[in-house]
Amino acid sequence: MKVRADIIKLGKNLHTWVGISAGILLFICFFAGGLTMFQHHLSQWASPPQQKLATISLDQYNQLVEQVQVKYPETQKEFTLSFHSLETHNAPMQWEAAHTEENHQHIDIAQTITMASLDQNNQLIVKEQNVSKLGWLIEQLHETAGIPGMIGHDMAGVMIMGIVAILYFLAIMSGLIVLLPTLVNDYFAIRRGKNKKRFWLDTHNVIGITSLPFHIIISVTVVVFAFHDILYGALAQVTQKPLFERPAATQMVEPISKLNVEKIFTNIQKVAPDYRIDAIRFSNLDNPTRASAFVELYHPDRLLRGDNFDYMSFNPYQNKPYSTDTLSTEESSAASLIRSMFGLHFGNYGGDPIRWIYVIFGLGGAYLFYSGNILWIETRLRKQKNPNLPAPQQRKDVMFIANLTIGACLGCMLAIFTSTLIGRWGYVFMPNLQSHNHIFLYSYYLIFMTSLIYSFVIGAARALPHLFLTISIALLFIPLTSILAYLFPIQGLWYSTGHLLWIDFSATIFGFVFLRFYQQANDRAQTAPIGSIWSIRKTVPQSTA
Amino acid sequence: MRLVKQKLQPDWWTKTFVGVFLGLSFAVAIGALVFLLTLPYVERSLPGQLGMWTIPWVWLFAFFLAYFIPKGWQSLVLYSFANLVAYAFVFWLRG
Repeated sequence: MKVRADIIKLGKNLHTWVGISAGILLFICFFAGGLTMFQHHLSQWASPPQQKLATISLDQYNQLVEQVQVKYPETQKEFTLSFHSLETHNAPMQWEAAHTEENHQHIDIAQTITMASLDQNNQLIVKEQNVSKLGWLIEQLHETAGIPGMIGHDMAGVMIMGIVAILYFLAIMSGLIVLLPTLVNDYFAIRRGKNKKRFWLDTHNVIGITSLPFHIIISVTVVVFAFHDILYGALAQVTQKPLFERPAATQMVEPISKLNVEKIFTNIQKVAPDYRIDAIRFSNLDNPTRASAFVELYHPDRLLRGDNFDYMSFNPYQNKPYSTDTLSTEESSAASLIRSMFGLHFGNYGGDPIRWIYVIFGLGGAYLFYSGNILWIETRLRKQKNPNLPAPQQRKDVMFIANLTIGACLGCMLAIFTSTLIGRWGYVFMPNLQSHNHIFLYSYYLIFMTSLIYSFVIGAARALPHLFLTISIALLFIPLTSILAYLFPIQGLWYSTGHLLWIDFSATIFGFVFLRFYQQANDRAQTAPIGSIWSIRKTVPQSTA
Repeated sequence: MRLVKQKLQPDWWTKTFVGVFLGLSFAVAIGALVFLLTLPYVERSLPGQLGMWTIPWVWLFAFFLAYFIPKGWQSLVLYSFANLVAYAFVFWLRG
């Protein structure tokens, strides 16, 4: 396809500027985003056995609720019941301790919950725990790129990523313009050879074009996730009409019957027979006209509104059939259109196979931004054309971006894997710690910052193989931890079991993949020409005759 | 079309300003039109959402296109005119 040279030039300039400005933050969000596809599995994997109470059968739930409400009056207002939920997997019933004051100005990292179940003799078991929320923390990283702080009720990182998503959209579209003239010839051509830039460019193009619709959807939805309140506000101002109507309060028939979980469960099954009921969150139970039950449901083959669930909402005391307006089974095409925006971002519409494809998209996206930065660097490298002349001095801005890219991108991966590992060993070395989620969080920032500083101190060429090797070791220590726990009864350490074994298995595979990356980076550091940004060889002083 | 044949000038600042502000205000107007036009026909909970979701789709494409209008001042004129027309429709429909 022929495209005018001035259009290509403008597209290229735009692509370069927005790409280099947004690339590293996008790398972090995409890498973490890929992992969040299985965030609840990761949280389960990182939860020690003492954070899991026995499951109970459906006909025991009423008894459990009754016993808990007598002993813990705060549950007369709100609590959550878990049936098959991946997220609230810890116990059949859980609730937050009574607060004296609501504070929405910070995120609760500790995630302290009280959980309850019944033992074999129907006796109440209650535990207060800082439940391990590894997956949830990775999700926070995905949403904020690790940028801390709040702006009002919103996380600063989310708002910043909303702006970055706009740059990202410009980068995608301008990249498409730049590629158009050679798209047909170059699409599947990946040319390995002496010219490393060619390889980076080919892989950057093939991944970018193949996942183009995915990237467009992600950028648009991120803008909405970040700024929906502002956009709704603007819309209300312009239309001068209420955008939504408050639903009428439920008319209750006196006397109000007692909360009956079993009946509610059966009533939900009647109206939504295709769905699995994962959890029910009850709130305002002490005020029957305002009481609400938020039900999380799951169907593997439907576009879901939440990341892992569809939902229904109703008054748990009502006698009339529950509304299923919020489910995809009965909605209009306009509602399906809106639902598709959420489902296409979350990748929740085809069970685990689609989730795995989204993991690949996420990691592919991370590679896209990493390779984009590498291309920016490779394009600006000064090469030694005459071997008799001294090795070229590289530009300081190129060195800066190289150090930043290697330190931040590899540092992010290393920080996630290592903090995961430290979090698990934390129960061995600090069993009585108030919040193990803080270990995940602080060790992430510590390792990320250390990697960044390390890259700047010793330079990208040396840091690259070192960081690859450290990532590989951290990954291989994950299954090793399970093996150690299996072979030796170490107090506080446990091994992965059942379906969670695939996390150890994946860590092993990726551990060896990163070991290969280490070998390649090491080879290149040894063979790259002296003066190259990727060389660790020292310049030989010119002898004077 | 003389505009299409003109050589592109970068004019980064003007085009970025046009894309960010006029592109956004145009997108809000289109979102408002979607809200007002769908209000009588779909469930009450949907027009607001449809209107809101319209905004980033229109804004991001409008923002990108602003760079491919040959000169900065032309993008300013074109987007101002588009805003004028869109808001005229909004005010007419909203009454």
